[in-house]
Amino acid sequence: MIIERITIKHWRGYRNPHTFQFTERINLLVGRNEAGKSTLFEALTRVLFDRHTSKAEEIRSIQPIASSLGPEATIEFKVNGIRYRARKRFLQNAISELYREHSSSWELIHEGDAADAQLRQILHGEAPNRTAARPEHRGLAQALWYLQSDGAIQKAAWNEGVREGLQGLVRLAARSPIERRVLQQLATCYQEYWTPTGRIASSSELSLVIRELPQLEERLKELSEKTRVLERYRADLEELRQSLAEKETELAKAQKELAESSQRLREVEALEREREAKERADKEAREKAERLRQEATELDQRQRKIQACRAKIKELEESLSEINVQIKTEAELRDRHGRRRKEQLEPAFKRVERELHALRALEQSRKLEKDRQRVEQHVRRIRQVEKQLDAARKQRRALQAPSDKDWRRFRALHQRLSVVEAEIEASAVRVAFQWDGPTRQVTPRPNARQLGNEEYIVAEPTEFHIEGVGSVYVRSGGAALKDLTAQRDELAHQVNQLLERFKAVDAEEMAERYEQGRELERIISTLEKNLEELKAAEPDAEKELEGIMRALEEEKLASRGLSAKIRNLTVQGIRDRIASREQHRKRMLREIDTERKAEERATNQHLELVQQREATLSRLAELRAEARAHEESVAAILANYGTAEHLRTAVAASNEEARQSSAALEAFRADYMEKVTTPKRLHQQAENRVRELERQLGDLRSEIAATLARIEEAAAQGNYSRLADTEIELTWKRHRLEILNRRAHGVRLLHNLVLAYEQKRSAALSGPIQELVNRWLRLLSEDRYDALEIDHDLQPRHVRMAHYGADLPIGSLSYGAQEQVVVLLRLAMAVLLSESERNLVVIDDRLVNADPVRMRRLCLILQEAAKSCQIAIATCNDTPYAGLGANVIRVPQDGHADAGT
Amino acid sequence: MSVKFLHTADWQMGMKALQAGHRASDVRAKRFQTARGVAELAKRENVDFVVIAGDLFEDHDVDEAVVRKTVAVLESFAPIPVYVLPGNHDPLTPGSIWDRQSWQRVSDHVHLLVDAEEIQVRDDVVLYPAPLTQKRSAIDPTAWIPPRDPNDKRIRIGIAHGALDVLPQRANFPIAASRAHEAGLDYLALGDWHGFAQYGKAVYSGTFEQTCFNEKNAGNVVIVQISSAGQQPLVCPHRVGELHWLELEASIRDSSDVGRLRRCVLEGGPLSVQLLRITPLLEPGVSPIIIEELKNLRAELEQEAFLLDWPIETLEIPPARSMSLPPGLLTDVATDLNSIIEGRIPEGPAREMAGMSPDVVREALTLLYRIVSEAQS
Repeated sequence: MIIERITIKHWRGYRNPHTFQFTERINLLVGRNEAGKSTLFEALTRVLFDRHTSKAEEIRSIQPIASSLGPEATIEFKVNGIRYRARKRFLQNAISELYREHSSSWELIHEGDAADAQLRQILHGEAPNRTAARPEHRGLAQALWYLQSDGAIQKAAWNEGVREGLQGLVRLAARSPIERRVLQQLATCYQEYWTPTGRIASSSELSLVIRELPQLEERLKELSEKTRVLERYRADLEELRQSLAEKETELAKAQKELAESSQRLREVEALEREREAKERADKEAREKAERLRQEATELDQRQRKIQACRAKIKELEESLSEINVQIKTEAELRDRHGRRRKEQLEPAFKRVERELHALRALEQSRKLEKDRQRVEQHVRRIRQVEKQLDAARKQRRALQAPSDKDWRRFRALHQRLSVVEAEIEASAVRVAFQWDGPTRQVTPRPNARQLGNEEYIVAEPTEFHIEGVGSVYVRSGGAALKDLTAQRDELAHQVNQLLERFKAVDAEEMAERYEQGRELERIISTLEKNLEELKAAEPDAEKELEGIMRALEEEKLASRGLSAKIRNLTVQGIRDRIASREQHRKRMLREIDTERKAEERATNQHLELVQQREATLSRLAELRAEARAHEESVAAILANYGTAEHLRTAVAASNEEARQSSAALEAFRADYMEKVTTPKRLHQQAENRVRELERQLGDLRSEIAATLARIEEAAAQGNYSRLADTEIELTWKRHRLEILNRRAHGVRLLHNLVLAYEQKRSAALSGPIQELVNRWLRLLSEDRYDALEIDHDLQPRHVRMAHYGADLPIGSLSYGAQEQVVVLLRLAMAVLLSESERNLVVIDDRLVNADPVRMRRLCLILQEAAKSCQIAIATCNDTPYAGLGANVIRVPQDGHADAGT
Repeated sequence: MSVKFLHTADWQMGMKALQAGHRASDVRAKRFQTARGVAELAKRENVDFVVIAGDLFEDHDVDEAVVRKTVAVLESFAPIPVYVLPGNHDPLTPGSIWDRQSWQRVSDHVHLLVDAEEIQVRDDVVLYPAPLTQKRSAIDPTAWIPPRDPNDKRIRIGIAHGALDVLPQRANFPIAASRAHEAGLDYLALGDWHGFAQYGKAVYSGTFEQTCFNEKNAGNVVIVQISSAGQQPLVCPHRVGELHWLELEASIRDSSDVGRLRRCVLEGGPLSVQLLRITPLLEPGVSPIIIEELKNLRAELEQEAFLLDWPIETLEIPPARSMSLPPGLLTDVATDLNSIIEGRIPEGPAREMAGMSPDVVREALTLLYRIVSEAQS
């Protein structure tokens, strides 16, 4: 298929109709970025492969922004020499029309879905389900059209659709519809059993049966095991019954033996009775002899004991006398020590202690006296200072001296007043009277300041009344003098107020009062500081003094008992005396202690002796009682026999009697064992045997009953029918598995064989492709690479480096080099697929990364390819393609707006 | 005075019926129904007693419900005495089915023959049972039967379970074919063989309901009349079994073969009681139309028959060399597959697959032809 013309409108940037003409050879679509070059190829793709009724996102996105008009494109193309026109509008008023040229006019041959289907058929595309057409739907075009929306190289293997498309390349080459249907059906059959990766499909019946079989086998195993358990029970039961039969036989035999031995027993009863009589007689004789022996023995023992008791009693009585003497001695010793201690030593010790106590009190009182004096003096000093302070404060209060502030104010006023007066004086009118005659009295009204004799300062209008003459009126110095006067008056008033306040007559007195006040302040400050120091040195001195006084009183009381001589001793004398009394005291303590210990020893000894005497007395009483008891027993024994000699005689006689009786019994017993004992033993054994067998039989019967119950219980579980049903189901499943396995492997065999043949065919096809690509690759890379390895899916895998003879993975080439390799591959595929008819190859801006040298070589290759194919190249820059002689289509200008379609 | 009794054997109650597939439980249930029919027959015929010559039960392990139901059926024979002989499936062994409490509760008219000793049924009729006490043995269990005393005018009936030495498989409990004659028996009631067969006075009643395919003459009980000691017994088999087991293998080429197959099946009686196992052998080149007819027949039988064992796989078109395939890849594939079937190693891509199982290869080829056939139609 080759394309002749495209008209596009309402399509992305193409709001108005644009028409582009193509030639059969190389067409160069030149335009800036986003001029609409790729949009033209998009329109080509959508018209050929998408459903006109599609509302997929990709279709909606081609509508121009803010437009509701349906995107529309019309393509005129040629297939097998026949010209077709396809018109398709999407979204709004969607249409699809396919026309064929017939006698220079266009004949509508299909429209709607039929037109869509027919258009797809041209390049053997497939209908998308609900999405827009993707590369796998484009049939041949996915291999021949290298669009911007495709990656440089498929990262993974072609997906199923693409692979089928490539395989479709093979199938398309075969061009057999039946073959295609068969292969499709085969693929369907294959998918019933296998996944694309060759595993059993988990949703298939085969997988289900495979999963179910182990469960059934497990169930069968369990049920079979239960059957085996039942068999084991039966085997156990058989053994038990056999054992039971054997035991019953044994029991019968044992019972027979028992009956026989019982008969024998009856025969030996008489012998038994004789034996018993003899034994009784022998026993009596022996008992009698024994009794007499015991009595004789006892008699001897008791007599010996009586003698022992008497000896012991005598000994104890002697001992008792000695003890009494010792007791008396110890008591006297104890009393003596006690008396000395209490009557002599302890009183003397107390006296020494009292003296020591008094001496210490005396010593202490001397110390306290010193403290008293010191503290008293301190207290007096404090009081004195306090008194002085009070006086100074009183004086200060009485003084009424001005404070520093008052004094500064007074001075300031006074100074100002002086200044003002001076100014007044300077400004004031001086009036002096000089009399030629007698002096007359002058009285100024108001009073004026008189400077000297008959000289006055007049600061204000003043009348001088001269006695006998009249008055002279003098005016002041004007307004300024008036102000000064007013100031002076004011100042004088304030000064006078201050003077009055502090009862000073004048400034001098004021100063004097101030100085006095300051002096008093200094005195008060000094006194306060002294007082503070005194109190800090001895806080609570008065309380301390009180304490000392009390302590002193107590010590004096304690030392009252001392003689005057001692009381008059010096402190050192007192200390010496104390030391001497201390030593004496210690001596006395030791002596008292010695006496006390001696007394204690004597007391303890006395106590021991008393206890010993008590014990001896007690023992004496016991011995006497014991001797009495023995004597009574001897008397009791001899009462039956008279004397001890008689008793001994009786003992000898009974011994002889017993000996004779034993001899007779022994003789009887000699054959008794054989006649009586053995049959009895045998009879007992037979009885035991029968009892034991009966017990064993009972156990066996119980066990048999239990085993029967277990069998009954096991049989009641209904396992037999379940086992049968499980066997049936398992048989069926295995049979089914066999069939499914055979089918699955059969379809896989067929599938793999078909695949192998297709791969062989595609390999056959890829051979020529390989050859062409390799030649072009050598040209393009200047023999750097001499081969491109293509796999059976026609995917480029490696390039071979000629110099090293090593393979380089495609992915390790630069992006631009990868694109160039893919372009070569697609051109080669296109050349071979175009043997019978030219096909369109699209290269959408895929050579931008080629350097100038490579571009020139690429152009040579393009020229060669263009001999077989129609080529459409989109680019921003047509300069590298200058030598191609291509049909240059300016996008979008050359696609000028069409008046209509 | 004559005696009339019913002789049956091999009830095999509780049997697994593996060949009945998913209808196994129905087959088992059917046997109880048939057994009740035997009781009714015994009453109708007014027999003096009933003899069950062994294998009343299929196995000692049969479900408790089976024992209870069997006991219930035997109860329905009352007041006719029933003599039950332990067989090789239910021998007298410790913990056997005869020890079950449900069996112990059976009424007094049912007698389990536990000892090899003479049993007097009437003054003039005695039984000589040979109960089996184990599953397998090479000893003739009837050897103990004493010969007739010349003065003994009673009717002597032997009851045994085993294989007459005239039968093809006589390894287990072999019984001398001459026993009846040597022991002076008027009748030897036998069990073990599932089809009715008579060898002089030794008679196999067969099982009253066929138990699997390939059992001939099964489904009967026998009514026996003996007029007096020494007289020939009148042996009359009665059909009581309902189910009909039929196994057919039919070569199919055309419609007439299909028709013949249909007629064979219908001759067996109503489909509702037929258990069918059918294996059609399709001739190479059989047409799809014939396949379709067979499929229809199969669908009909599947719906109507009691059980149909006819795998659908048997209706796959067999691969035929004469079937034309489109030239190219498909023909190449078919050629390779045929080569492998014929034992040759093909060249090319199929070479590696030459070792595949022939069944798998045939399956592949069959599939190919089927798909091609469908594509061409």
